[in-house]
Amino acid sequence: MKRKITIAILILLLANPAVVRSQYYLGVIQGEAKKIPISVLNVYDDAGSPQLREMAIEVLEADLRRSQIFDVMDPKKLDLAYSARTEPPEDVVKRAGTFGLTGVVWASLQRKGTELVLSGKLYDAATGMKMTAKEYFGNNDTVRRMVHTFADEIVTRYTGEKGIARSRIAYVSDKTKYKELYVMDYDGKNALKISADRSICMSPSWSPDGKTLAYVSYRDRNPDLYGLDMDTGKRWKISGHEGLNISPAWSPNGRNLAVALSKDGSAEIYLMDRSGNDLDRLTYGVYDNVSPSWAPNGREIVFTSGRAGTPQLYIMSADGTDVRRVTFEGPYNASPNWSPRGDRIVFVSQVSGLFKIATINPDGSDFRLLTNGPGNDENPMWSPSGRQIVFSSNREGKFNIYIMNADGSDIERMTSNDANYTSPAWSP
Amino acid sequence: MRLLSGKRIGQSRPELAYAVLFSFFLHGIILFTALFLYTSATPKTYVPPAYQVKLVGQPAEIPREPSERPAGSVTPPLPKHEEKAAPKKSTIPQRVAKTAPAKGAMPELAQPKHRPINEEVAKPEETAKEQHAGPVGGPSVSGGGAASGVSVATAQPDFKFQYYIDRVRDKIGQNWRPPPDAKDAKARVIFTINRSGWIGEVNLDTGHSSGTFGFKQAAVRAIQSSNPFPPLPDDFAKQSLEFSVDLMEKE
Repeated sequence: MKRKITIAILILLLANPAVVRSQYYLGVIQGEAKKIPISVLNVYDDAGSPQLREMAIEVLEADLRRSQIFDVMDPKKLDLAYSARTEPPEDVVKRAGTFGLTGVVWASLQRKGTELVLSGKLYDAATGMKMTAKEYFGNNDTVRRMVHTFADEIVTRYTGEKGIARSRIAYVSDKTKYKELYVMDYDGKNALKISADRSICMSPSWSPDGKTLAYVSYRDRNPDLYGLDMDTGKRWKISGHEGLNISPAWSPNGRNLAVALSKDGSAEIYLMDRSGNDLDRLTYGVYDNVSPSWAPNGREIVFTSGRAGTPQLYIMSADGTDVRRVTFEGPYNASPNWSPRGDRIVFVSQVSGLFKIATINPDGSDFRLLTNGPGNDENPMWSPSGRQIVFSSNREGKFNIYIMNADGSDIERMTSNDANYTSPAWSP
Repeated sequence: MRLLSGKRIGQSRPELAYAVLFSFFLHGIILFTALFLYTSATPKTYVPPAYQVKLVGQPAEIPREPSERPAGSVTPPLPKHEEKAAPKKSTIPQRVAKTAPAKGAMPELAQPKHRPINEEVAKPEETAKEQHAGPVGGPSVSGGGAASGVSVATAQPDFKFQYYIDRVRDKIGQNWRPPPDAKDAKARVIFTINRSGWIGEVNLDTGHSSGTFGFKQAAVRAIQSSNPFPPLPDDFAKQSLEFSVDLMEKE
């Protein structure tokens, strides 16, 4: 009987959430959010590797700064030096709060047997509370990766979003006498050649799960489309139709690719599965339709078309219907890429004879030119967070890969200017 | 056999008695089988009575004091699977900091929801003290609710993670794009954030909202566009928390 009553009470509680419901009032929101002031207090070297310590601090601060979420402050300038072996006590963290900091990061590098351990901690400067504590295991060669992982953890703690510090960028380089595919960390380190076609590779495109790279190669003397499994290295030909098989774009669900094929004359956009089957033609016309990019919801595709006499951006539904023109400014607008949030499209726009990077709303409003100066800026693509844009440019002579903020600020060259680096594709 | 022979059962008294007895026997077997199946299929979990009673009178979560945990340890709700998702090729086997088991942990089924309440039962005087003291940072949330002359809802739990509140406000602020000409309009949105930071239900509180339909829709969209929020603090024991927020034209 007692048990029945207990169950009945439980059912009543579950059925009537008002009994246990409580609510936190957030106040009134009217203003925009600012960057979060944060400081890396120290990375204590308990592993006898001062160079690794220096590198860890440098990478961590750069990751936090590049996230576009934090305003990274130098603790020395704030008179916040802390060099003890143990994690900072509450009063030290709270003191940082009095300098206007919101977050305080502290980490240590230790050796446990053959492993190197990065122990990272994040504190709320206002209250001294520990927000997270993590340990990452690796060795001297993986310190950068461990720090990237910790930086992403900090970003997630503050935003709920996945950070970009562990993302990678695929690109094409002619470092050998051929144009081959490469992959590097998002900060330009750890570059790795991933193709040996001894030909021309171009247009790499990451699948949404980051496991497959689709790209175009002339290895069979025709621009064919290939798939490359990034875990196993297995490669297969996705599409080898006569003529062009170019500008692949994965659908957000990863099942289909939108590809431009010229097998029937002019280049037209087709849908196909990851094996190149189930071909479905989306565009029709005498002028070329190329460079598709999916809306993040998978319902629409933005592409470049010459149907108006000059290359311009158009949006169509994923089944090829409801085509509408997006760009009207300038004689040349091409290479569109839809932002991960779906609110902007970045593309190449010709200004005074030079290609520059611009963004626009999907409804055609709010055209903004982001780059200027010498050289051509090409192949823009959003970062997975939508806060940065990667592109290639020959502004310094050779083509290099650059990263900038979504508003065009803080342009940073990521490659070494010793060869041509083009067609960047940012991994998920 | 009687049925097969086409004669009705119960035409004689002995037959009727046999039929009734057979019916009782059959019902008995069915009831016994049902009881056996019920008892064997239902998990036998012991739920302390005190634990139930406290649940009724528990409007807010009681966060565990950080000092109760061993230094350097933390309870990670999300990262476990997140870190498993790290690239296979990576040579960094990432591990989560080891977590000490909470004192007086409940049986597995009841553990996530009710552990802190059980702690409260053990130390009622401490809980009372904590509730009266108020949360760190205070419930009068930053952001100028009072300064704007907007009344603040009264039902506020003892949520002491001010930094989390600031992050939620920041994120909504980033995604708040009210339509033009929305002077004096205000929309109150009520929404739930789950442990992982993903939002659950989002509702407009029409009783506390004014302005055009477009303005109210923009307010709801500001919350939906902010998804996901940061994961709830590790030391916050509940699996979700409900928030309300007032959105007004930008200053």
